[in-house]
Amino acid sequence: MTGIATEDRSGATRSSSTERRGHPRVRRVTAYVVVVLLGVALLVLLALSARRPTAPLDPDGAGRAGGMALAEVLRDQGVDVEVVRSIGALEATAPDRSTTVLLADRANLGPGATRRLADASSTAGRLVLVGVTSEQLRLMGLPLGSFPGSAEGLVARCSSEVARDADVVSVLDTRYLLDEGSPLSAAATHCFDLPEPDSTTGEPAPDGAYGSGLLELPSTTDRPETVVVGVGPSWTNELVAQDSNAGVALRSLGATPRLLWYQPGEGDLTAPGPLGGAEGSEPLWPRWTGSAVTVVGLAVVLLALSRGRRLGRLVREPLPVVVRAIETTESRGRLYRRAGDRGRAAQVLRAGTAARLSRRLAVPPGAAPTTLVHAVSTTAGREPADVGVILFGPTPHDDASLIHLAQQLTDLEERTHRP
Amino acid sequence: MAITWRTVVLTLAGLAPVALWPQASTVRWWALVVLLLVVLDLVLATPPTVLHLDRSEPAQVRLGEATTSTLWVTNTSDRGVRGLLRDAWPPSAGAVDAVHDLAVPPHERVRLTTRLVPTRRGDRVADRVTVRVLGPLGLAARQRSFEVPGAVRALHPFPSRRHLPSRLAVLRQLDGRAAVRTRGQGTEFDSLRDYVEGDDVRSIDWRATARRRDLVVRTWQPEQHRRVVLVVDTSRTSAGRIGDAPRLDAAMDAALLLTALAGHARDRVQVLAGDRVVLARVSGTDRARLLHDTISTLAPVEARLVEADWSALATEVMRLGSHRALVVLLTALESSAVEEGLLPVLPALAAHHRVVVASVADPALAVMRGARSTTAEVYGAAAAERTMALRGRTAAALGQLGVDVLDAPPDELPVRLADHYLMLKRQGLL
Repeated sequence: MTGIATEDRSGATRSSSTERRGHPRVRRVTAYVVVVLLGVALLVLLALSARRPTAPLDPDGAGRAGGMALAEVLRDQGVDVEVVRSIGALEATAPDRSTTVLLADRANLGPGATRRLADASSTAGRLVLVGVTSEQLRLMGLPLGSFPGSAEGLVARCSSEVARDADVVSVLDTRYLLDEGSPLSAAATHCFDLPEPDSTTGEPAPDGAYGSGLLELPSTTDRPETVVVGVGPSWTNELVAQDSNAGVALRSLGATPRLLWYQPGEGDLTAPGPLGGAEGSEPLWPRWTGSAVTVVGLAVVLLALSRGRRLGRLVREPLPVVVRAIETTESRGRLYRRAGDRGRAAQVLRAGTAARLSRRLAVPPGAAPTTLVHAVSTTAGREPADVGVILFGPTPHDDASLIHLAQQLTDLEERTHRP
Repeated sequence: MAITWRTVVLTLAGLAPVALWPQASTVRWWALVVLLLVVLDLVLATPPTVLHLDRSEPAQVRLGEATTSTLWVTNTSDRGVRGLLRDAWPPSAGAVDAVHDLAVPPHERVRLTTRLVPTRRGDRVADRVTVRVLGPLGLAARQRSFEVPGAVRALHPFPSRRHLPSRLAVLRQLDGRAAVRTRGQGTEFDSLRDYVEGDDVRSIDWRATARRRDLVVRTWQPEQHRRVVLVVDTSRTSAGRIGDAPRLDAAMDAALLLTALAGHARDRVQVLAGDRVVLARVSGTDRARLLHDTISTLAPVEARLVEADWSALATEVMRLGSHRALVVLLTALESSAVEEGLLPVLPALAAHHRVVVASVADPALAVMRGARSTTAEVYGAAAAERTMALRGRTAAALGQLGVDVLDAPPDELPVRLADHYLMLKRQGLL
């Protein structure tokens, strides 16, 4: 009967669990679909937001750091603004004497691209470099150093095609210094010189000893007239309308009918140099790296296949259930504890001890408690009152007193056993 | 099919041409070369079907000891076969080094031996034998699995057999076959013989003495050809583990010792093992093979998670014969299981037979009862006390039915049961 009932019950559980299993599966699939959709939506959002250029002085950038305002003003002035976003495209346009080449954002300009920029712009009318680094200047063969700096409200105090004596620019973030003893020192014009750091008057240091915000280098045989600009932030959408920023920018860029606005893309970071890379920029990895990685990857896959192929199937084996015999008693103990049934526990412990003591001291099973108490107190050498409290006393009121009682019962048994 | 590490090395060797001609096409060409070589190797490899596999049956082994399973691999082709062979066994068959290197010359036979150290009692059936034959280049291999039947039976370790000699000595004393032939104890009249100094004067047969005019004594022998029925309970209560082994193993140990002892005492031993149905049955008529048969028959018996059907088992015991017998029930003294299942059928059984209930006690219970230093331990001690009280009550209820109850830890139970049997025999109570 019991067996049949058990089978019935297990059968019922199985069928109900199969029914219930349908719902979690549907729910799990739905959850996966939702996660995938969310992921796709996130990717689309990222892609859309990535389309909006955020690079400084980007001609399509409408943000605070963008250069859209400047580009639009130049177009209004009748300048043909052409935007190129890779060094290859710049080379393809082949700038001529009536073209100004502007490098507005140096962040993505790799060593190879720098050399190619120098080569490509050699035929142009003017080259304007905004915020370039010393390394890039060195690669382009310009004897200049670039240093970080910061100043506000700089006055030009020079007179050239680009800057007027009283021009004021709002912000400077890079200062440029001619290398000492450079042959260009005499020919170069430096404007927006920085004052001495300790100066209280704000007067610029003579000869731009602490750097300049704008350096003009005259053209040579292999180089056009070059303007190195450290006041780039003044040309952004945010600031171009203030002070004389717009004037300086227009005079720098609008001198020729055509402007090539070069905004290096990410590909220009690793673009090879003018001679196919070997001589130009040092590539990060040897040329065979890609192929070697492919071969090693193939070998790893083959290794996985060779190690993963099992020599025959797995052998299954029914194992016996492991049930400890003591488990039921342990659960009974936990049950007592969870119920906090101190009365029951104490009663059971006392009954067990009393039964053993009765047997040991030959007290008949049906005898009165006093008989046992007297027999025990005689053997154990304890006061009958104490023994009576231990064996037949009140129920312990907390766990500590239950422990105490249990230990006293053990003690009583030991005394009786070894008086 | 399978590929080997050589294929991996060959692929890595492609780094050399790639370094010389660093183009993507080099990689493609090299991959093609590797692929062609692997295919060529596969085509040239000997098919595994040319091998003929035979297994010589492994012998029975006592649990904890080692045996071997031998495979004979015959190559029926004209080409040599190189590769690997795996003789797959279930994990608890304890196969050591089951993967062998295979090298069989044409038309020859090799022997491969797998060492088995079973870790669990019972029958272990061999799984498939898988052969992987390498191609001539060693790049790839053909693989195939074959069914080669075989099984190993791990017998009960029978640890209590070390107690057998001492109990047999006691039996010989009872028997009167001891070195000094004294007046035998027992209830069956054996023979008359001349009185020798030291014989008990009470055993003098005066009537025979009068006939012979010499002093003649009677000798006695213990009863023989009595029936002993051992019932091993394989129900859920026997599945509970005491220490590392289930109760069933201890019960079998006790049953085996009693079987060996009773067999030597020329009693007729019958062994039943079952719960709702009888799983194993030994009726030892052949005394020489009795113990072997019992060990072998009980080996594959495992405890099952079902309630025992004692009325069915009692019916089986009754069916074995109506002569009075010593019926030993090897079960657990679990109050609920015994009261519901065993108690109702015991009176009928005890009326016909002498019934002994032998139960495996758990030493952990006494430990649990003695530990009283934390709250959890004290509640555990109370639970242990309660369990022991219930066991005691059950034992008392069984005792009132005229049933002898033995409750002992696993290592003591076989000895206690054997001693109880000897006591019954000495008193002629069988």
